[in-house]
Amino acid sequence: MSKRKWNGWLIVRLTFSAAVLLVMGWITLLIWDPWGDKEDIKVDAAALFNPAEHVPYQAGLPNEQSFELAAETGNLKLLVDPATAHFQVVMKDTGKVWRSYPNPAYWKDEKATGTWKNQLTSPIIIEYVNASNYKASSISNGLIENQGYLEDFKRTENGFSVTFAFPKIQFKIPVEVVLHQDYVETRIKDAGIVEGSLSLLNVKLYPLFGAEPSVGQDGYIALPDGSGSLIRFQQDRTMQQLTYNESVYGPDSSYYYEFTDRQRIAMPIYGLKSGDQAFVAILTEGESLANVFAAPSGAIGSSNWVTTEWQYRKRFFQSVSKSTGEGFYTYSGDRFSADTRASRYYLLKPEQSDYVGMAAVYRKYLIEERGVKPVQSARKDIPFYLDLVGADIEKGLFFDSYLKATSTDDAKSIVSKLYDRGIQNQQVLFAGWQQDGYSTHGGYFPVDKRIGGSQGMKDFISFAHSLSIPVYLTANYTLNTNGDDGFWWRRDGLRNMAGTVLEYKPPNHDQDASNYVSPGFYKKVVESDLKQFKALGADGIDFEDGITQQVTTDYNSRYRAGRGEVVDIQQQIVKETKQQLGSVIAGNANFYALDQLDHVHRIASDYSYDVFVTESIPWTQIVLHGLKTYTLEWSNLRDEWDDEFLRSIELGAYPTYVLSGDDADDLRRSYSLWYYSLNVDDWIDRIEAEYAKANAALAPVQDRFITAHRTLAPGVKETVYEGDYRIIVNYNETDYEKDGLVVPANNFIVREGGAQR
Amino acid sequence: MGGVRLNTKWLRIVSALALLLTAAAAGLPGSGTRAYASSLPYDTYYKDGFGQLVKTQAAYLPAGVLGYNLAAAAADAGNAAAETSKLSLNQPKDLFVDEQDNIYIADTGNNRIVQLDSSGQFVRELTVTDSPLKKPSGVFVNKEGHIYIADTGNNRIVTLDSEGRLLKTLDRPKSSYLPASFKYDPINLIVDKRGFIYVTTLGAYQGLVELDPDGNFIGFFGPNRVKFSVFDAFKRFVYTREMYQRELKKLPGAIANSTIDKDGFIYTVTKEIQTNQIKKLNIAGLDQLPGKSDFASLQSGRSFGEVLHWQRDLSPQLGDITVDGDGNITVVDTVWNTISQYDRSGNLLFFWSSDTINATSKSGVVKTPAAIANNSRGELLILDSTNNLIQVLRPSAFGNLVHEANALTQEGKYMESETLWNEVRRLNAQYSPALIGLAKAAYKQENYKRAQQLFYEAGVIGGYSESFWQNRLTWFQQHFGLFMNIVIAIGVVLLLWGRLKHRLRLASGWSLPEPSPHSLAGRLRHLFVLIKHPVDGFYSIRYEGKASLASSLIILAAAIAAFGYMEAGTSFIFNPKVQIGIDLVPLTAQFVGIWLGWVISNYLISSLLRGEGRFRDVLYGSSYALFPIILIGIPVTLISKGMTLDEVSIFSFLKLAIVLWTALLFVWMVQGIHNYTFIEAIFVILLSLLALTIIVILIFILISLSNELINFINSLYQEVIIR
Repeated sequence: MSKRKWNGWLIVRLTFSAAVLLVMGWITLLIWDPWGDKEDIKVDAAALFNPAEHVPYQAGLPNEQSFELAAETGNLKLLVDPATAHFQVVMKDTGKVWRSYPNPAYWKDEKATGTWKNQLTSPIIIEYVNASNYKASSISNGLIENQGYLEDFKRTENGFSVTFAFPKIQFKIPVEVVLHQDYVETRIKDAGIVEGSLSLLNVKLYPLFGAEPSVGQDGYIALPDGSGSLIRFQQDRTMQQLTYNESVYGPDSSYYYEFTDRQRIAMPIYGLKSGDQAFVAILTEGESLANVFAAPSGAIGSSNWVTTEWQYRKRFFQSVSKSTGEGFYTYSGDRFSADTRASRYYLLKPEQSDYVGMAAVYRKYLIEERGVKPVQSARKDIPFYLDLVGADIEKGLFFDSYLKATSTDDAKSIVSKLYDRGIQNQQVLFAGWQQDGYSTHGGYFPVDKRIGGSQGMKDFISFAHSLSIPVYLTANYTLNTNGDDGFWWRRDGLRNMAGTVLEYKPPNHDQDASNYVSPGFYKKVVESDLKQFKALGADGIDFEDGITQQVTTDYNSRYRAGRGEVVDIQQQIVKETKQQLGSVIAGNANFYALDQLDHVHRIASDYSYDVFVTESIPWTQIVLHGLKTYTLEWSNLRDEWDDEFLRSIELGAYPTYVLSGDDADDLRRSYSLWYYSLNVDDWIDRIEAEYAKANAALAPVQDRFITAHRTLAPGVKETVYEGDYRIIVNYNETDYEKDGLVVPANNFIVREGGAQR
Repeated sequence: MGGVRLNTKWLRIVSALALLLTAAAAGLPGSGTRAYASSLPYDTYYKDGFGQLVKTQAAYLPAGVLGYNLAAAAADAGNAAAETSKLSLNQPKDLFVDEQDNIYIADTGNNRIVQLDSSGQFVRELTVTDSPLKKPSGVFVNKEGHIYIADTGNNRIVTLDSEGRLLKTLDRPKSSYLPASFKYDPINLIVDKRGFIYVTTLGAYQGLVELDPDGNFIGFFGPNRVKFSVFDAFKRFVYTREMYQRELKKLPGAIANSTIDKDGFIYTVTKEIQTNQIKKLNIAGLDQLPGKSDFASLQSGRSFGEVLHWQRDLSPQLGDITVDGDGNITVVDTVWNTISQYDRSGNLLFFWSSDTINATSKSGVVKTPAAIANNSRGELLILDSTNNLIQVLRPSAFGNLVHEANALTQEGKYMESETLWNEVRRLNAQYSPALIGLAKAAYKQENYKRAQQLFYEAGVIGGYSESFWQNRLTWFQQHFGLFMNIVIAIGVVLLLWGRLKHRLRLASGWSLPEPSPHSLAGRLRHLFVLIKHPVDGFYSIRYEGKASLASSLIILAAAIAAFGYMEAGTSFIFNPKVQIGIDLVPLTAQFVGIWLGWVISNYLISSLLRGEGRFRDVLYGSSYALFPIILIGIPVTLISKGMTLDEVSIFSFLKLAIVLWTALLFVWMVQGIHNYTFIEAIFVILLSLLALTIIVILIFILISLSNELINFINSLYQEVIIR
């Protein structure tokens, strides 16, 4: 007996020690391996640099005499200085010169000194950090501080290529400059970038291209901020030190974003005008990894400059304590890489050197190179976009209560009411039709029975079709509140760099948060739902608040996607929707989806009210008019009732209202439907009157591009369409009179082509 | 030991999970919001008397920046070769706009007063060269153009005439009423029509220092009250004299700023207090605001200064106040970046708030507002002391509309206000001031039904009660005839029954069957015995079986139903919460829970203290004791639907009667069932309540601990699944 016990114990002890040894061995193997690779890289980087053989980059402007012709096309000439890699582009017709460095005529008045001044003359400015030291802050400088030099300067067929080397910090960045018929393109070749132990954060290539100081000329920086905004050249600006730095296609929630309360950049373009010399830059490749950076005069140097800041790594705030909010900044690990990153600078003729000319160039690019087909309006009346809200939920103690707003029968009566009042070219966008209303995402189908169910929806759609009115169903697939569609937030949620699943928190803190869905996952969901949309007879989907608007890097290991991949996924979704259903709409979409969209709904109409930005311009509207149909924000939500109607006329936007039936429940405490007033009966008279006015003004120019937009006097704006069709809007309380032209107060007039100014 | 380790480990896991799950906020910009009302950097809201938040259109729109980089002629203008320098303010602390819209800025850091004209052009700067200013932080200009400066660094008031020449210097007033320790640091001042100066001094909790035109001390004006809570009373009762003396002195909040309107009302605003932060004082120093607003009955101890975020313990820190020509009061919150506007009766009109943004500055948003002022065009000027500029906000079309309509309503011109309010309501269906304005107009037009409905929608008890009174009167008048007929008919029937009862009974030998005392009906009838002889009735429940489980449960269910009906069915006038909706489930759950807890704890205690009742007797007795809720509660609720505020005393009396009667019944129940004396019964009841408290605490602990345990197991399971 004792012998057996002793044996048993021995076996136990032996197996236990064996297990422990195995585990230790396995752990050691895990830890040991990765170190091997790191050693190699370190050795490589240092060996690539040989500063002794190269001339270090000199401070100061390049010598004007040393520019040689590098390429020439019908309109433009490219000259380059091999010693500094700066270039000049000359427009042959007018002789105007755009330089990639500050204007030499005003260089002596430059107030910046030291490293700042050196950065202004460097062809490349990089920002980098020592990522292994979490307390280190990032450093930004150019070639001169790092004893940089140019490597491999080569003339190519239509331009030149060079590699910028920073031996002190061990970076090499190969770039290429190519001249085309109407533009010069600068590219960074990510594949050739070399890094040492430091981490590259972002790169500004030829930042001072076209830069000009404010010496009293009429000029501005045009930014894609909201609908578009201008920073006018001025000698003494309010709060000069502020700059504009925003991410193209919107900030990335997976990283740290310093909150600026600015609107998203939907168009990857920017421009600068100085006197009658202007350029517009279009980011054509890798733009989802770029920021637009603008430094008006006095911010960094005396010149006004605007450039693309290409992102390679982003900052991330890792909090360590929930209660105190303490944490530290860290940076994303691997570099973002795109196949190529390209900015094109289109140079404008003097007669087109304003933001309208810039918009025209971008529009041409979209049509010719991005496959965007201009809209062909079939009807002679302008379309009226009717947004209906089905229902929403209100948070309750145990259960959320369902608040019905518009049933499918109500929808029929609303459509008929409007139809009978003369608004026949309607397009209906039905939201809140899904299971449990507008704020519930996930498992949209079938249509909620309480507002009519799928049968009711089918009836409504066929009723609308009988009046030739298309019906779109609004959907936001980027959120999930109930775990339907096979969504498990731990497996399929959109994760940020720390691995936290991102949540959308409603403004009211008592309401539940919802999880963001991984793009890879929602792609599958949309694809599987498409046939159900088709079964209802819907003419298309209206993507709201997510697809085509939100570009977030996904760190979910199952669906890992960088910004570029997310953009691709969304483009595919939009394309498939269009193929299967025939049409697709998106709200305030980013312009990468424009080729598939038929209409862009509720686009921004104003700028972001930064103190250093002068005014807002209808840049997106000028690009879009005649290309795709668009509307501004729902008219019920206007702050200034009369002024914003005039604004929609000025911007050529079609009317849109969000309405509910006249028997809606009290929506005050609903999750999302805070809208001021939805009852159709309150609005129908105004809708009829405004539609008539807007139709009279805008129906003739539905398919025409906007050719000019200007301010005639304070509060008086003019928009000119092709064929010299002019609409002049007067926002003032007094009439505007000039040269026999009278525009009554708070009103607008239309002048058809040929009429004398 | 193992248990402790488990505790800390799951604490860490749970907190780490919680940390992870909530750490997303830093990166999420405003994406995902369904509609942007506008791209303005602030959102405008309205909050009604119930605290419900309603988004509104913007009331004010950004209209530019003043005082920045202005061309400022050199001090000795008139010299042809004078250089224009740039005006740069340095930490300006105060702003004053006179009736011609001239803007006076107390440029504290530069020791001067700067005057701009109505379009923001530089006019002159005032440095009193005879007696230089030192950090002046307040400025006031009277009708004649005389400039009063609170010269803080020199602890005095300086008066200049309209040309800028020194008139008077008023140093610290000498008075026996001012203790030597009183710190006289004038930071702001206002002057009334007589020329009396009211000085806001730093940290003066006694109120404003009132001086006569020659600088003699008159008194303190408009102090705040000290808040004395129940806890303080408890401390006073319990602490010894020495301990109490060592407590920090409870001082009323010090006035932060003040202003005066054209009628001579003085408005003060205070920072550290929780209620009545804004005071509108008349010449006698009496606050005119309490009780005047439409929601006054819902808000006793009104807190001015709205705060947007849904967090507890966030109190507004109002820094400055301004009043426009209509009497609308606008206050600015220096910490939470919120501006709130009230009308002359203290009704909230709007408030707007913006997020704190460090990376940039926005037009129309001031990060650290130092002062706010109104000009004659209704524009608000807000002084930014960090960025040294003035942000101008102009009223929007919506804001103008509301101001116009509300001014008419406040003046009593209800009919003229109606079309305007209709337009406001069309624009924003949930904006209560529009509903209230329309209700008042309907009431004036004697359309009482509509008035009642609108007042109900807006949630205004006083107005609803009055309209209801009118409607009731009309109803009575219309149906008086019918009523009288019914009353006469009933009277006749009763009379006849009284006469004929005897004869009928004797004739047919028919009488109402008496139910046996041990049937269900008999047990239910026992209730009526309880009304007349409560103690004996309960005694017979214990010893004579006059109650059963079925009858008790029926009575309990009826009592719960009656309670629910009382909570949800009482008229809006006495129960305002009905308007926002009452969730009965938690209320009845509480009721049942407490009742059950009482039964259990009473049985436990009484069984220890030689009580003779069994558990079932306590159960039966407690449910029988609830009958006043049914008996009185239901009729009271029914009656309340026909009562107005004038009859509130009747309603309160009846409700009090329910409570008292039920309490007495419980005492008698304990007395009767357990065979105690009256005093013993009370003693046992107190002990039972104590036991009930302990039971409740134990249950809470048990629930939260098991919750944590379940969470831990759940997260462990999920971790395993993921791997």
